[in-house]
Formats: sequence, structure tokens, C-alpha cells
Amino acid sequence: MTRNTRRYLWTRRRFLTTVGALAGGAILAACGGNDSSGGGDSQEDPTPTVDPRRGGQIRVALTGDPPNLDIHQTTDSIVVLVASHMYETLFTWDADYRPVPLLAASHEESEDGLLHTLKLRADVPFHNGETLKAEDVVASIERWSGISGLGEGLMEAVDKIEIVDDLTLEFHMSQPFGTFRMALARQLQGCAIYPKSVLDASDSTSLSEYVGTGPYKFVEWLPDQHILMERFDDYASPGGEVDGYAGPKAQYADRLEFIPVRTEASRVAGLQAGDYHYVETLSPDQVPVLETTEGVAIDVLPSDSWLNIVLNLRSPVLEDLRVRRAIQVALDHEAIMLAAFGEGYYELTPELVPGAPTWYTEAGAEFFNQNDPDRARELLEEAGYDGTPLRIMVTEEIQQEYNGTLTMAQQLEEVGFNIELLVYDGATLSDQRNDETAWEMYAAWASFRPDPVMRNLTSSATGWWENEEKDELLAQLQSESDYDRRFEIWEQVQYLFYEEVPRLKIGNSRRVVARSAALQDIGPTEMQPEFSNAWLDG
Amino acid sequence: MTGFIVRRLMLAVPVMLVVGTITFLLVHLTPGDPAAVMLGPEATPGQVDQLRDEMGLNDPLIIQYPRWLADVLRFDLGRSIFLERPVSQAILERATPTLQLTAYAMLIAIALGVPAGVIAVLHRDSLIDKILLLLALTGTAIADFFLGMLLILLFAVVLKWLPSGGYVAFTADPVGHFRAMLLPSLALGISIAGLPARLIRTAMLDVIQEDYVRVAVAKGLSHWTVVTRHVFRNALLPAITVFGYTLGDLLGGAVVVETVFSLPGMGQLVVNSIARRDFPVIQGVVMVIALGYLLANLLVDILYVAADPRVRVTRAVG
Amino acid sequence: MSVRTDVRSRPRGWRASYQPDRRRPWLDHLLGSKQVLGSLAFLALVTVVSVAAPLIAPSDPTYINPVDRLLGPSLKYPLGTDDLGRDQLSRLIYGGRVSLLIGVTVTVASAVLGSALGLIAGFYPRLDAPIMRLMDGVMAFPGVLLAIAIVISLGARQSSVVLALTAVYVPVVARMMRGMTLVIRELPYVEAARAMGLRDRHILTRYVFANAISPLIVQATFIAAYAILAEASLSFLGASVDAQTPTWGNMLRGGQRLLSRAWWMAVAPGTILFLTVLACTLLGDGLRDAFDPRSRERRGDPMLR
Repeated sequence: MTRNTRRYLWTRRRFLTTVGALAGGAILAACGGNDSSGGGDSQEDPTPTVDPRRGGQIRVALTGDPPNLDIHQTTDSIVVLVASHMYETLFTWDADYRPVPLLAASHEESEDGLLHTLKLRADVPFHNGETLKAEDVVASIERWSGISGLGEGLMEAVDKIEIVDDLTLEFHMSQPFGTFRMALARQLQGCAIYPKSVLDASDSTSLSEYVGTGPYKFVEWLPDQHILMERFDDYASPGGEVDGYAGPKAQYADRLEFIPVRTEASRVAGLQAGDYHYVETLSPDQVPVLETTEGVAIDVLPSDSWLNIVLNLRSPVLEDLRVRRAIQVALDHEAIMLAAFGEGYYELTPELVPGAPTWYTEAGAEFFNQNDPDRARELLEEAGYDGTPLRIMVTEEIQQEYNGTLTMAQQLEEVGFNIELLVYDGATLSDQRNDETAWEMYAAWASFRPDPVMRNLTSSATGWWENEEKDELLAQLQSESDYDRRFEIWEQVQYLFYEEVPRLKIGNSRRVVARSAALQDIGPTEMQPEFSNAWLDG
Repeated sequence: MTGFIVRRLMLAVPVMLVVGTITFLLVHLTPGDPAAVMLGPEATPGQVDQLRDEMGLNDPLIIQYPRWLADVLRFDLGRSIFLERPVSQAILERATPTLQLTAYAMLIAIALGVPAGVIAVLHRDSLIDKILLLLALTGTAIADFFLGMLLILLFAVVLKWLPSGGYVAFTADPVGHFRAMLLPSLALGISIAGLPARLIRTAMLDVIQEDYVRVAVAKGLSHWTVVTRHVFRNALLPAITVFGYTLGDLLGGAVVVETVFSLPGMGQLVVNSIARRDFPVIQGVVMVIALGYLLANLLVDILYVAADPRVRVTRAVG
Repeated sequence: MSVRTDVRSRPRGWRASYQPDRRRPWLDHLLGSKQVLGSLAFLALVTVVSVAAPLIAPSDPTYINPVDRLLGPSLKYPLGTDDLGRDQLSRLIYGGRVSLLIGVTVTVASAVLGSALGLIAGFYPRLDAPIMRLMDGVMAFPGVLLAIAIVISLGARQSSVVLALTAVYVPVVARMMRGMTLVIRELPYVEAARAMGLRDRHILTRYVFANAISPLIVQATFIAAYAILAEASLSFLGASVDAQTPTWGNMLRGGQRLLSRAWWMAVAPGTILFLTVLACTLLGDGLRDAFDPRSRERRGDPMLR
């Protein structure tokens, strides 16, 4: 899209509509934050009545350097936070978390579900001057599916991908794949679109350069110092209204700077001192201090992720369902969540996809948070538990998981389990996770997913939950496209989750967003905040 | 003398190789590997194994070690897994902030410690002596990260005079550079200031004992002349050499200060690389640090011998 | 036979009135030094409290009680609670056990090992070079890295931390002992002892070591101070004992994270850490002054008016 066309699109009417939408969105966000149950008020953030200002450099404090800037590679959310300003995906999410086209112009699925026709938007430039073509999409999908589980699943159902012309692709499927759009949408380890020329010069573990179609382009990465991006002037902004992650990107800020600050207290201090505009994650315990700091705005948003205890179903100790049931029944979820997050920052509800209201179900709720230590002791006796230690792995690097795990361990000991707490550093834990003889339990984070198919509960995920019925259901969930049918399937899966206890859901945690009061319009944060429409006031 | 230097330099090589080998073993035998770290928290065991294969991490050590050794002997420290650049480049980039930090910290430590030590000596056993010494020791007794945090809270959050962290290159912005380096240098400098204070005090006390000082006083030289020309100067050398030997401590302090203040130095490089199991970087950094330490030691030894002809080379420095 | 040249019998009779008692002047000086006595007293107090932890501490330092998390100092919790609701006072008292134990163990281990190596290196010229090069190599290895690596491979236990810190301080002691041995070895009475045919081991222990012991003790107090602080730094970097077992270091680490929110979490361990380290250092300084034979003569020195 040339400069002139852009100016044309950006007419007065569009401008006013966009500002109105942003203002409306900001009002809704402020109200939504206040309405939620529990404590934790949002600090008063008056809806900006000034027009968004262009210019400035948004400084974001991260918890550390990302492992790479390659969205295909890693399930670490920090990569998406940073790199999704540089790369785009074929689809993205609207405010109701429905997948809508982004780099795609349109998508059609045939009646029998065996043909998906994808048309790309025309004249979408890459940062290096090339234009988006079908071959770039194919190359990206091929690389991505070699690494990502969801990608693998997609490609298994694909017979071949046909490039009809530069802007049209046809996916010939061997079986229906109803979640086609979701698989190719913005997510952790998602299918970002890179130019074929870059991919040809790269290998599967690292990219030769960072080139994408996104609103900001890569300038430099000085590890332990910053990652710098600047506005991509030729960016092809999508049309329409700002709607969740979808819609136009105003690119108000000149530059985005991401700074790794490993010490949490330093991040907090930096925010207070005005050195940063946004902080990646914050423990809710820091909120009381920041609430009283001038120039800092705190938003406590509804919950969208949950504390997840993974059980090793290949461990001999946990083979007996009664032992697992004893664990499930023994726990006082309130105490664990309190220890991990503090008063008012958690919710105890059984749904496995919090934050996506269309998937709310209470299937299996009778198993959730039973908090019955006596029953647990009975079950242990019945099962003939012989005192074999339950090895629980934990790392101090993530404070909330650590606190929750310690509280849980104490509760299990009180019920009669013999607990062996293995405190590892993060890398060791990531390594030991893959060894089925090394552990029985560990705490993990179930971050936000707009659709249940994006949560990996297959038998290949850690924990090795091997159950034919469940695998069947999950396959159907992936291939079905009818929402009602999928909801039914999901209810069954959730019920199995609670009945078989392959993992434990402890509770939801509310998201705390801390930013400088000058930073406006961050947009949705469930799948990482986007600064493409954000601006600095003053 | 030249022979002595050459011998020491030649000895440095095997020491470095041994250090490098020990690191190699340590790093490959500890649990955890970069593949799992790279793929993130929700990767499946299958994905991790696949990546390890691609990275060559599943090859037995017998194969990996000679591969690494051959590279090192060609002065090729390899390529960092996470930093996407050669290890040597990563180290060079990080050396400057750390060298600056340690240099400024030493200057602060000397600027605070030496006057305190001198004054303390001249008023020995009086209240001033005790107070100054106590002050010097106070800095040494506070945990460095705690001191750093307190400085940030005071100067960055409450007073808003200085940034809370981050690094600005001198070439980019000299004023910003010193503003950014002031707090970290203070934190590190204060925590070692006690050392020069006590060293200079002890050394001066020894010198004051000497006969030539008594002669100087008897000759009628002014108090001040005696102190500066005779006592202080002669006390300087032993003090410097002991100070030099204790520099090994400085890296530990630098690591902590760099982490609190987010400075992209060698300290953070070491800690972050270990956390991520960036094997090539860990191995390379250890060898470079070892080399630096050996060179620094050599320098101090040479200084000692060259400046004081009474000391024989072989006896004093082994 | 002892080599102390200032040993005399207690002055008796009419001489006692004007001749000072020169039997153990350093002991007098020691006992007269408020610095030494004060630090010793403080350290003794801390040690006693730590050892008596099960009797003194009001509650179980590892008991998690989320309902009472992040409470400030009160009657029930004199030093407040942390983010898991654990009583900080009990943790402080029990924490002393670990911190002091680590300090003492590291000190003793490095003193023993370092002295042995230093004595041998100083006394036997042929072993001098290899031992000192070995010590150089160990010192060249960055201590922080070694500590982190050991903790990762052997686990977040006290033994790992002790091992790591000992490795760091052994070369320091060894160097010092070697230096002293080199000097003492040349003294006439040592030569005389060798000429008399006394066994090496006898000479090393009764002659050399006996005269090097005072500086060693002084050095040991400084090592203790460094070791206790180093444990705190290692905690901060995540390379020390895991946080369920309290140490002053990991308590301080937890405290600095929530410094603005819950100041009591950091102030208590920070202060006690500071005072203990200060006491060790002052003790060392005081001992050095006391043991140094020349310091007594300086008292009358005109230069210092």
C-alpha cells in the first residue's frame, strides 16, 4: 500500500471513528476491570479526552531476555510479547475471541471440509521490501509445523497445499479440520509469516534475519540491554475498526524498546521512578505499593489463566486412581491460591478455559475443591499407600508457582503423603520434566487460550495422560467446525479431566497490569499486550 | 625478569585449558540443557528431544569434547545458542560495562577508603579512628544487593535524581553514562571501601615504625612532609599489592550489582548463560575470566617486584 | 620447648610493685580491648540463641499459614510474617543456625586445608610450584560460577554451599600460610631445630605453625565474615539453600523482592546479617592488634600525637 493510499484511507471520518472506538474500548476496559468480583480495585484511570499523540518511545521492562525472536520456536510468552509487533499471522482474534483474518483476506471451507481456500491480502510489504506472496505462507507453515504440536496436527490432516496464484492457496485435506483458522491464528508458538527468502537462508533453530510484515520493524537486539524496534512506515494497516487484536494499527509510537530487568524489585522501582512505561509481569503483592505511586496506573483484570498441577501418570505411585483422587480431594484450594496470589487476586471456578466465556462449563465441578482431608486419608488407606515418596518438583524462579506448591505439599503431608520436595533451577526442571522416572508432580501455568483445542491435553504432553476416549474426543474437537457440537465434546473432555485426575486445576488468577499513567490504549492483554495502537500522553 | 614473565605466561595456557575442561565437564554433567529452555514451558518431551538432536546435544561426551577442544585451540569459542552471535563477540561486548563498573567502584573505594585510613592512623586510638574505621567497615558488612536496592529506592524512586537501572554507553551519551553508572558503582565501591582503608592504615602503621621515619622527625621535617613523602609513599606499595590480590572478590560483587541494576556486563552474561545452559558461552566466559585473573595477578606481581628491589623474584611470588 | 621469647616468670617480691607483668601481655591486651570483648560477646549471644532455637523460637519456621501472610510486626508475630505466612522471628532464629554453621564450617575447612597446603608448599621447595599453580588455577575459576554450578548439580543444600565457598577460600589461606612459612623457615631457631635432627612434622607443627597461628586466626574471622555475606549473595542469585530452610541470606532475598510492601521481611535479616558480619570483622581487627607485638610499642610513639 503506497503512502497516498494510506492517507486516503485515513480520512477524517475514519480517524474520528477510530478514536471513538479506542475511547469506547478504554471505557469498557476500565468498567470491566472494576466490575469483577473480589478485591483489587483498579486505580482511577480517567478516559483520555485528548487525542492520541504521535511520537515517543515506549519502554517495556521484561523479566529477562527472550530465548529468541522466532515465534515458531518457543512456547514462552515473552517471545510473543516482543515479536508479535514485528510479525503477523494469517488470522488473529477479535474482542470476542473469534478468529478473524489478518494477513488472510478471506478464508472459505468447503461443505465436506476437505478443501480450505485461503486468499491473501494484496500488496502487503515485508520489512525488507518484498511483498507477501503465497510461497512465503507455504514456507512459513512448513517450517512451523515441523516444530509446533498444533502445526503437526494440522499438517497431518493436509494432503497437499496448492499455490493457485500469488495470493491464493488451496489446502486439500485428507480429513476435516474445523479449527483451521485457530491453528493459524496469533498464539504462543504460532505460525508467524516470514519471507521465503529469509527462511531459505535459515535453519529450523534460528532465523537468518528478523523480517516480518508487522507495524514495527527490527532495529537491534543487544542482549541484557534492549530490543529496539521502530515504526514501519510502509505498514499495510488492516481496515475496519479496532476489535480486540484485529483491526487497524495506528502506530503512534515512533519506537518500541524492550528492556530485560531480571530483578522484580528493580522492575517495580523502575516503574515508580518513571524509567519504564510497562512492566511484563508483576506479582499482585506489589500492587499496594504501586497503587499509591503517582504516575502509575494499575488495572486488575478478570482472570484468564490458572494454576495447573501436572501429575506423572506413568509413575507407579500415581497409577492407582484412588491415590490421585486422594490428592485431588485433600487440597484446600483457597489456601493455596491465597499463598500464591494474595487476597482478592484469584477465583475458584472449575472451567478449564477461563477468559473465554463461550467455553464456560461446570462439567466435573463436583470434583473441584472438595477440601476433605478425612476422605483423602480414607482413600489412601483403601489404596494401600505404602509411603513411597511423592516427588514434587518446584523452582524458586516463579514465585507464585513456588508458593502454591509449598502450600500444597504441606497439605498433602498433613493427609499422610510422604512428600519429597525437589527444588531445582528452571533449566533443570524443564529438563527433568521429560524424564518419567524423575518426578510425580510439578506446578505449571495454564495461560490464556481462546479455544480449548489450543491447550495441549494429548498424550504427548508432559504428564503422559494416555486415554483412548479422551484422545478420540480431542481429535474430534480439532476436526469439527460446528460450535455446539464442539462444546458438547469439550464438556466431556473437561469431565474426564476431573474424573481421572491427570492434572489438578487449583484456581484462576486475575491479571495485574501495571503501567505508567502516560501510556494509553494498550488493548487486550490476554494473549500478550500489543503496543501498536498505544500512545504516550505527555 | 623477562624469563619470569614468559614462564608465567606459558603456565597460564595449561591453567586455562584445565579450567575450560573442568567447566565443560561441569556444564555437560549438570542436569538441564538449552533445548528445553529454548522451547519454553509447554513444549512436549518429543519436541525437546528433537531439538537436542539438531543441536548435537545427544552425542556422547567423547565426541563433543574433542570437537570443542579443537575449536578452542583454533581460538574459536563457538557461537552462543541464545545470543545469536559468536561467543567472542558476546564477551567483548560485555567486557566494557564490567570493566567500567569495577574501575569506577575501585576509584570510589579508594577515594572513600584511603583518606579514612590515613586520618584514622594519624589519630590512632582516638574516637575519630574508631568512627572512621567503623564507617569503612559498615559498607563492607552490608549485603551488596541489599545496599543496591536501598540506593535505588532512595535516589531513583524517592528523589528521582538518577535512573533505576540500565546502561548507557559513554560514546553514546557521556552524561547519561555517568548518571547510569553512579549508583551501581557506589553500591560496589562502598561494599569494598573498607579494604583500602584498613590496608593503608596497617601499612602506614608498619612504616611509621621504621627508623628512617624517626630520623625524619628528628631532622625537624614538618609533620605533613613526613607523612606524605615518607610514610604514605612507602605504605602504598604493600597496600596496592594486597589490594590487587583480593580483586578476585570483585567479580562476585559485580555479578550481583549488574543483576540489580540491569547492566549488560560479564556478570549478567555468566549468570544468565548458566540459567539458560548456553554451553558455548559458559565455557568461553570462564576461560576468559580465568585468563584475565591470571594476567591481573601477573601484573601485580611484576609491579611489586619492579618497585621494591629488596624483594627477590622467586621468593616473593613463587 | 616453646619459642616465645617474652615468657618470663611472674615478678615476685618487691619487684612486683614497679615491674609490669610481662608473662602474657597479649592476653592482657586482648582482655582489655573493648572491641574484641564486645564482638565476642555479640557473636556468643547469636550463637547461643541459634543453638537454642528449638527452645526459644515461638513456632515452626517452616509452617505455612496463608491466612496470616504479609502481616506486619505484632504481638503474635513480633517480626511479622512473610508471603507464605511463616513467622519471621522463628525463621530468623533458625536461620542463624544455618548461616552460622555455613560460616563456621567454611572457615574451619578452609583454614585446615589451606594451612596444610600452605605449610607444605612453604617448607618443601619442590612442592611449592605445583601446589601454588594449583591454587592459582582454583582462584582463577570464578567463584560465583563454581558456586552456582555446584548448587545446580548437587542440589540446593547446605553442603553444596559449604563446598563451593570452601573452594573459594582455601587458596587464600594457602597463600598466606605459605608466605609465613617461607619467612619462619629461615629463622635461626628453626634452622637449629633441623640441625638438631627434629622430624619435619614436629618442626612444622610446633615451630612454624605455632608462630603462624595468630595471623591465621585473624584471617579466619575475616573468612567467616565473607562466607556469611557470600551465602546471602548466592541466595540472591538463586544458588543457595532452598527457601523453606531459612538462612539469613534467603530471608533477605525474599525481603528485598517485597521491600516496599513488607519492609519487616528484609530489615530483620538484613540487620542481623550486618551486625554479625561487623562483629566478625571487628573481632578480627581487634585480634590482629592484640597479637601484633609491635602494636604495644606504638603506644608511646611521638609520631602519632
